[in-house]
Amino acid sequence: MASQEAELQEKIKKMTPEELKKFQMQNCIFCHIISGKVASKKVYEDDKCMALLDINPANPGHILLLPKEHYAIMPLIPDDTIQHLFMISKQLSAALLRALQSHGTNIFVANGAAAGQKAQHFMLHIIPRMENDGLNFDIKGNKISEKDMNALSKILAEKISKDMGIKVPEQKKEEPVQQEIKKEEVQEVSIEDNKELKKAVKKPKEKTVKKAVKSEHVTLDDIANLVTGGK
Amino acid sequence: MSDCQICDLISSGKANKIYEDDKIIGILCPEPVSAGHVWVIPKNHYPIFENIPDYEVARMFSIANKISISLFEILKVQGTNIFVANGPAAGQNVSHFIINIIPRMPNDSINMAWQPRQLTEEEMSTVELKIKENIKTVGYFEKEKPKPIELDKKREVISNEEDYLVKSLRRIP
Repeated sequence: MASQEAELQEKIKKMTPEELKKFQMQNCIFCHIISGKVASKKVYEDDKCMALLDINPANPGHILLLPKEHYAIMPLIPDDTIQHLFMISKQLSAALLRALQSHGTNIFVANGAAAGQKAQHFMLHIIPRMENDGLNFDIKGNKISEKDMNALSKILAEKISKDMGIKVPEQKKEEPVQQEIKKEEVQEVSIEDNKELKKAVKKPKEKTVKKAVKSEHVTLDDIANLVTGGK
Repeated sequence: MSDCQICDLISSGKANKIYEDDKIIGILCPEPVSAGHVWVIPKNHYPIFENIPDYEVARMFSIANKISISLFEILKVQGTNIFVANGPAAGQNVSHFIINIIPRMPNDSINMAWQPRQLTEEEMSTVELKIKENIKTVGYFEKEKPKPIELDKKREVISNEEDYLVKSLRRIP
């Protein structure tokens, strides 16, 4: 068995990104559901996504919303698909409130194995809620010191505005511009080296996402592999 | 001061802002579940998910996704949860819509899993039918309306005296 597994690993390593994606799709139960090979309780479908009832729901009416294309984790999904998915999720949530007279809904995304993602196909959970239904998403946290908060927010704010291409007015004008140019040059070189990698990820439409996905491509891939188990 | 503590928090400027545009603001959660717990909040006061227009939902989550990507990179976390509690029964305790982005590491003792249930075939079919009855409007999106054109109140006053065309008209006998 061990040798078989090793063989498989070898085989996977040799695959081109296109082959790898195909391989993942063949092993993904949700891709089979979407293509209709496996039966499901489908409640909604359009050209980009599909919604079905979870067979092991947290509450009756628990909906899974899947993009039709196979994406392992959220950062790999192009921006327009993200927007579409969440707009649909809002409408499905409204439909659940009406249909089941539920008192609320939870929208839940587990993005990465560390966050509790179990399937290799990205999905959105929409869970109808009633008063005292026994479910408990405990997201109460603890206060942390103001100093830590300020330090963290400063780092994050800088990084996020850089990723989104926003100029931060507090910074000196000349220096950050030069740095940014340098970084872009480095990125371009690395992308040219990895033409195959470039093909692997579909190009998101917005520039900012493009940068973010590409610059940290390796780590995101690693995270995706954690979900898929390296397949 | 308003009745909503989130609106107050935004307007007070005390929040640790990490992103802001004209409609949306991203701040660090004052009581984080894990380091880097971010709230993405609409600036307009919307109590629940269903109050928010589609185009704003799209923009909020697209920004949430980008912040989530930045969290991956900067905090070296291995996962994020995007979580929305919509309605008091779902655990919402302020009357303002919030998207939670919670960075996750393996074995971080945050438990967000649920106990899966097993429903009978009959229960599943009734639920399916009920949902399908109410799902006809899904997929039709509300688009952002263009802003009305602001007409200038002050219009240029045409002074007859200086206009040579008018003068020339008068000359004609």
